[in-house]
Amino acid sequence: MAKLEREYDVIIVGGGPNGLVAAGYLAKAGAKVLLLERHHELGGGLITEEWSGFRFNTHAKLMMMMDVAPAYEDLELESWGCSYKHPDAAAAIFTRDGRALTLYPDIERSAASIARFSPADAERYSEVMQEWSILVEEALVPATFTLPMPMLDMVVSYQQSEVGELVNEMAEETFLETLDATGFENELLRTAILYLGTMYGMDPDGGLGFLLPLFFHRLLHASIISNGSHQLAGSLARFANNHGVTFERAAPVVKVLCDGTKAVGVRLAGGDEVFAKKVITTTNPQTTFLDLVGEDACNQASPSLVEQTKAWEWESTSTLNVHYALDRRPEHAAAEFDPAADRALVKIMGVETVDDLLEHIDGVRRGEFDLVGAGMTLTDLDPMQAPIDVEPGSAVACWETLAPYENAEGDWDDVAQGYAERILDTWAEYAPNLADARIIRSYVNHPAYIEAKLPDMKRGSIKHGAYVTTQMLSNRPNIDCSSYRTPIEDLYVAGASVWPGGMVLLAGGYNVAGVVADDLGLDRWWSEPDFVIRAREQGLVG
Amino acid sequence: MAGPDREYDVIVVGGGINGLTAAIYLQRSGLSVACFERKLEAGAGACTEEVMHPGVKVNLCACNMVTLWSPVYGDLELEKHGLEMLTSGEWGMFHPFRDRSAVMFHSFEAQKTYDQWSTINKNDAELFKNAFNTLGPMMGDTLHSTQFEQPQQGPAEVVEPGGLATMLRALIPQIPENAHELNGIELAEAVYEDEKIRTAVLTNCIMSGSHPWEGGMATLMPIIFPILQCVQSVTWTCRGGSHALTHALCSAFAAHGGRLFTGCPVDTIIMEGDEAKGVVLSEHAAYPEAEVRARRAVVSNLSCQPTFLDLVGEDKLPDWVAEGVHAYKNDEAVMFANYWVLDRPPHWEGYPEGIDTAFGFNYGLDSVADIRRLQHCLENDILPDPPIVAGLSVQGFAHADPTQAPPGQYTMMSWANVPYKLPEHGGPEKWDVIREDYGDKIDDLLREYNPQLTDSVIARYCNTPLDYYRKNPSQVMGGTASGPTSLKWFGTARPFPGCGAPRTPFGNLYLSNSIWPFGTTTLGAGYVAATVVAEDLGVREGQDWWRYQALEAGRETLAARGIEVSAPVV
Repeated sequence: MAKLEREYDVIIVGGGPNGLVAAGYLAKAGAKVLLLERHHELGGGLITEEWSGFRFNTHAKLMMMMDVAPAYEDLELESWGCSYKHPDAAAAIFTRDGRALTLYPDIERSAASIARFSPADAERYSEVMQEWSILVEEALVPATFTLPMPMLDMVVSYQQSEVGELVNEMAEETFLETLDATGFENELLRTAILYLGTMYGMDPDGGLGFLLPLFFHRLLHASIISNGSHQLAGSLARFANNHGVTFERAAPVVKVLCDGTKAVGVRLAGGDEVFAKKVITTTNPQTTFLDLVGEDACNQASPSLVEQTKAWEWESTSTLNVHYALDRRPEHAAAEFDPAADRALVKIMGVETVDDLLEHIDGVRRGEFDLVGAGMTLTDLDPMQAPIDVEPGSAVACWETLAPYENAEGDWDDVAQGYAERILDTWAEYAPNLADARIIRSYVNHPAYIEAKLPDMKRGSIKHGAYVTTQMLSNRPNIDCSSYRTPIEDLYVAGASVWPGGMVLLAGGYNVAGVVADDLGLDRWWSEPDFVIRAREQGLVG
Repeated sequence: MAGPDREYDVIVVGGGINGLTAAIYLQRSGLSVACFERKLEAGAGACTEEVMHPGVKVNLCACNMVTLWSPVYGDLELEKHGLEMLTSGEWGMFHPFRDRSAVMFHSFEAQKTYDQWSTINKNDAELFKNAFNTLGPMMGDTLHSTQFEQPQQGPAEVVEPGGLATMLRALIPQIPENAHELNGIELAEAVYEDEKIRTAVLTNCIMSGSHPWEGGMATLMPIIFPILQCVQSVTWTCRGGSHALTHALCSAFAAHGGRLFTGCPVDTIIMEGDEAKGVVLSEHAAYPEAEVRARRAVVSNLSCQPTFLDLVGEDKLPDWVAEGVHAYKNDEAVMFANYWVLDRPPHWEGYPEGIDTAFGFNYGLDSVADIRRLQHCLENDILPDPPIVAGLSVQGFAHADPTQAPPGQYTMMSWANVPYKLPEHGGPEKWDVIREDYGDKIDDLLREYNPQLTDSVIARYCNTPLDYYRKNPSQVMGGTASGPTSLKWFGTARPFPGCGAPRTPFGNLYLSNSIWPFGTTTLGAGYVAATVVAEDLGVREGQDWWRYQALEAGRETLAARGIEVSAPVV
């Protein structure tokens, strides 16, 4: 380990996307920043590893906010090597009889595809999506890149505008109620919308119905990072490095050092202690407060912090993704019905009705695994993720699905490889050329692996904790910490367990950087995006 | 344009460790340097990936890191950039036999090697003592002139009778008069009495890239290699895995103001007349089809064929160059790798003490006849069956560096020597078909030496030569040394006679790969390229930081850890 200095302005615990973003903003603001990462590589879930020259993005793949995240411009990510690619068709849902309904970022193109299944829904789609787009673009995206308003203030403030009222209403609805309110009749369309809304573990029966339009809209605008998700981490790190951030890899933090109720530094696994004016953790709340800070210091600072933290709810489902290095790209039979579906980024297979989808989600919660999922062929968009110089025509295909952390069929280690074969057989029912494909490599990243690789994703909880009313908005991770400040003086939180959550939004790190810059008396050198300023005028952000 | 400037003094194509080395030296010498790397992480073979089991780091290519030998380690202060070199125990290498005996090579203390050999054969131990005490003190200079200077000689000079062989003979009386007419195997048989010592020594020669069935320099390796082993050890890993070397180099490059662009495959080297003037990036690059000019030089860290055939373009090559490029042999130093993660530390029941924590070993060769069998297989493209592991096995990663595996888990690897082409199976594409079966054969072979190891396997991952090639198209046909290691391509003959490497037949175009020395973690190729480019561009003078000799910085580092190397054998 290179010799660290004794004192920094800011120590950031965790080199995932939020830690890297915070480091970049604060360093450019003039802070002397040390970032500590337990792994050998930076990036947290921004992982790209190579099997025989095939790049598997084993964790994060779809980026929901790259086109709106202020960090993308502010941190000059493009000049530091990052770029992202939007697909032509964002998503398609496939039927067993060889048809597919295709959805695009563009409302009218989606409507044209829907019209082949239901002319009435096609018309409704244009209306609903105009409403949903306003909801997302004017309220929810701005809210993502600002501190959450206290719940009650928010309800009152949102009553000032039409779009705010809509959020208030939807907040009380379940996803299913929000879906029903659209009036869509066609099962395939309804299933596709609900699938995209729940594919990252949201509860269709829980509240926070506004998350359905948010996820649906943003997944239709999702992009992938050129060259692989890890490239985003590399670009963030290069910007930060250029502004003087010190990185220490393979440096697990075991303790946040406190002087009474004030954080003063951290202790590393090797015993070294480093001190700072401010400490930012991006770990989950239990790691941060129970393990790193310790119950004693927490209890001194706030009577309820330990209790709230222990009550933290992990997600009820985790994720399984299977990666295949293939000698050919999957070619879907539905291409004959709709050529665009064949190259849609998210290809939903194995489910055609809302009831089937709900049964799938319920089954996963009961510990069952089934063959419902989303196929993605990232090399369609970015051929260099396969070794095309040596294996022309080869491809990387990935299947992603909800999966139970505790698998009723046995230990994940024992059953996972069998699933890889069953899944490819299922996919071949939709893409017949897969039946003869040569599988050069396959890799199953299952819930137990997720937890082993990224220990903050406890029980395979990819968002560091469930999105439920008691853990969202100003309740994330709890009322005392959702301003990114905590009851421990000079300790800040900024991981996926803080608003607005996980999913590589580049938001938590952005929000905490503003707070810490203010508290250190540093200039916020960046300006707020116009969409935030407009939202503030409407009372939609604090 | 966002991203790269329109022009730099020097462009380095390919961010492998030797390309980065050249880039850093030139940037630090006052030039502006940009390096373009096709992948998201630089480092090429110095890679560490989590492809087997969660939390288990797999050093997929470079595995025994000899960077402590390098002047680069000291010049670029790689320690300050986070590089920490670690080893597992006192013993660097051992060669086990089925009868539970072993020939061992100590990491630092020649005395211990001598003592261990003495238990096997007194006379062979005496030879080692004599050779070590005579040649050990010269190793720094010898290594520097052979690994870190532009070669002045080709294979012909190295084998001629007045060469090194005669010189050594004057120092070590056991070397026979006709040494220059022998090959390595013959010399080993002439100077060593014990079959096990012969076999172990010859195996280690193969491991270091030398073909003992050849003459010339290869002849002397059976004497020189055991010395090199305990001059400063060849058996190191980096804290965090081999890729930590890459991180340290990237950090150094950035600290001196260099720009590394990842996700940027280069499509073309721009040639105007016979001069390289810049590069054009691929349509898939982060800056698609960007044209970036090089005011003074382009350094290609791609291997010989991709550089000339793909980037320069075959149509631009004079006939003699095209001929040389096509003759460059890629399918030597080809390996098949087994990686394992074990649930308990390696233990060698019944073998000599010290072996459990030794860093590396080879197996499957019990006598000189097995060396001959390997020669026969490699020369005739036959897949050895049973396999022969003379490419190095490492069991010491987790002992040296517990961060490379989760608590309670231990990584291990074996490199078996194989041909690339697989004619008996129907061609190299059949590697995918036979991969796991051949991996099983290696498991079975290892079991004959130590069943405890294979019994404690949690997971296994096999990597074929085809996998290496796919992962890095510069490793044409999966070669792990970016080209041949046999005598024909020594010194000035590498990559082809008349090239003048690291200079090329083209103005402003240089190579930092496929040149002498081989691509290894000594970073010699990058260092030699930097030296020649800096001299040609007139920036070498006055760089007082550029001063270390081979072995020097490593010796300082080890001394700081209380390890004294090269004490004579008594």
